[in-house]
Amino acid sequence: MDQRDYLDVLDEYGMLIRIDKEVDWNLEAAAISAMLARVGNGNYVVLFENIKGYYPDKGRLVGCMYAPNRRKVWNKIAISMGMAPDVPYAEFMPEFSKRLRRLIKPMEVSAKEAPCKEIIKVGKEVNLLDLPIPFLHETDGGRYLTLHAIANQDPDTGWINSGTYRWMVKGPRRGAGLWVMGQHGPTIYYTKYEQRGNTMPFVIYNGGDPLGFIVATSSVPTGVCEYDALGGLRGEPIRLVRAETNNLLVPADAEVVIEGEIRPGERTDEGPFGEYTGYTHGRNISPLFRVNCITYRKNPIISFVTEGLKWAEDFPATLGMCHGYREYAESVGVKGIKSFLFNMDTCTMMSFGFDPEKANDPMRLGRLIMGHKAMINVNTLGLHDPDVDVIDSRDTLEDFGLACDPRVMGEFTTDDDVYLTPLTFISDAENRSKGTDGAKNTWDCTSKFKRWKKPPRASFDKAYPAEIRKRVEDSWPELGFDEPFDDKIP
Amino acid sequence: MSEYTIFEVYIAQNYNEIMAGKEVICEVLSREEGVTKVVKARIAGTEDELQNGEKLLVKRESGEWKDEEWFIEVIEELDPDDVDLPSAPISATPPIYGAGK
Repeated sequence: MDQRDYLDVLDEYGMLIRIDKEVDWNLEAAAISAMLARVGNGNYVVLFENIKGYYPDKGRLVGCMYAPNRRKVWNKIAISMGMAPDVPYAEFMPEFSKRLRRLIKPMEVSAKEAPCKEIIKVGKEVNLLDLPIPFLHETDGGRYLTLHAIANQDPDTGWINSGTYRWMVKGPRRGAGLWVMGQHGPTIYYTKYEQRGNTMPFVIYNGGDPLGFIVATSSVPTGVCEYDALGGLRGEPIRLVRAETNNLLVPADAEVVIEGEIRPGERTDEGPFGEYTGYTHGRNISPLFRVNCITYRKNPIISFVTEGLKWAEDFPATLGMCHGYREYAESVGVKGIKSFLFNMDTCTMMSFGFDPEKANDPMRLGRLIMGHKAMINVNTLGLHDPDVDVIDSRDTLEDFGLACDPRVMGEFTTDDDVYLTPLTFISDAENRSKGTDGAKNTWDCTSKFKRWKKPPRASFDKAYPAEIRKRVEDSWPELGFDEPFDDKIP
Repeated sequence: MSEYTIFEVYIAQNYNEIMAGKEVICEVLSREEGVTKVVKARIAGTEDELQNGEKLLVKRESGEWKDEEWFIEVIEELDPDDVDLPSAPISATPPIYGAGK
């Protein structure tokens, strides 16, 4: 399935809105998409078919690609996996994890079979402004790609990494990104190219399989290629094609491919950018991405997320991270993990539910999870009993208020060795630019090892006998309420 | 009329030249095109000091707008490969310079 197939499927579900009216790539498309993400409750994807200066055939934009349902944040990922959008989390997540665990090697196809090669521009012909890459927030430093992946290769092992790192257009043949040491792609560059004085080839692709973004943002282990993981998630080999000006491989059905190189020691300003944490991340110094070639489909559809509060459109990307954390925690012996999710919409708070019968010390999980390299995004971890629906942020905040005993509430860690994303504004800007000066805390809201026992809950599912609940459910449609009956079970 | 933006740190770096009415080389963002450009320009605190002054908005490191009025007259767009224009170090301390009018 490529992005265009995905849009067709969404159309069949009645979830695709096509806008024919002229819309400006400069803030307007993003503002419409941000509002739709806020009020649409994950029910829509918006295709802008008439972009100012690019109509009728120089490119289109698509927003709200992953903008989630507030109660079922996985709804669009489920669709792109061929599942129903209303599949329960308890069914979705095991299937998602099962598929992410398997690896299927990609297949290479010829350039003739690759739609992303319909238009090829090399060298001085290249102009990134030929594409309607959008300007997303007023204080951003430029036009940004946000729903793309940057692929580069470990020169020692041949491992190709493909990750999503925000990328700003700096000029017709220049770009810059948030390229933070510690994440796979940047670490390969800094430690294996720049330190040796070598130039690193890269490719950036936008579009292709809609699950590509989910894999590119997930916690795929070091040494594992995201293309293999994407094949696993899709259930068949991903079709790749060789780049025009370097030896890297890109998805053949991508909408846009940008090829280029980073030369050692070259730096340029990047940012600011309105980030997924909900606030603007300021100026950042990035390696200079020199662009040598762009290839794209005719009238390409560039997908984007607007990021920012509220609501974070790309929040479903955290599902892949959650999968990685669970795999890691279980691999080091943590037992009793029942469910887990980031809290809306910060992507810096995360909640885990435990089965108390099986669980070992919840704080052990806290320490292990906070030590995971991908947890640079997370500064707050909540540990909860299984009767708390951690899929619903309201429930976890309620539990934090009620069950987190201030006498034994958890652990707080701060010093220069705590590695935290530079996107968190609470620490010093200068230190954050070096990837240090972090602070993390774990709140233990479980009843495990506490001096008290939780009293019975007075909620719908606990306060009423099954017979009454069934009677209410059966009569609900006749009672005239607009909202459907929803006996949610954690 | 076009609008440009610049980081305050680059106003600070070039402050003496700007005040003396000299040409400076700096990187600005063209709000109209949504792309950064390296330009040879004159910058001033009032529009009257320039022949073809256009609005220059100043941003703090954090991305926040600085409540100052500046104007820019772009004399020439330069090829960034022909200019050695290093990024200023990221600093938690805002630079200090006399404000425009």
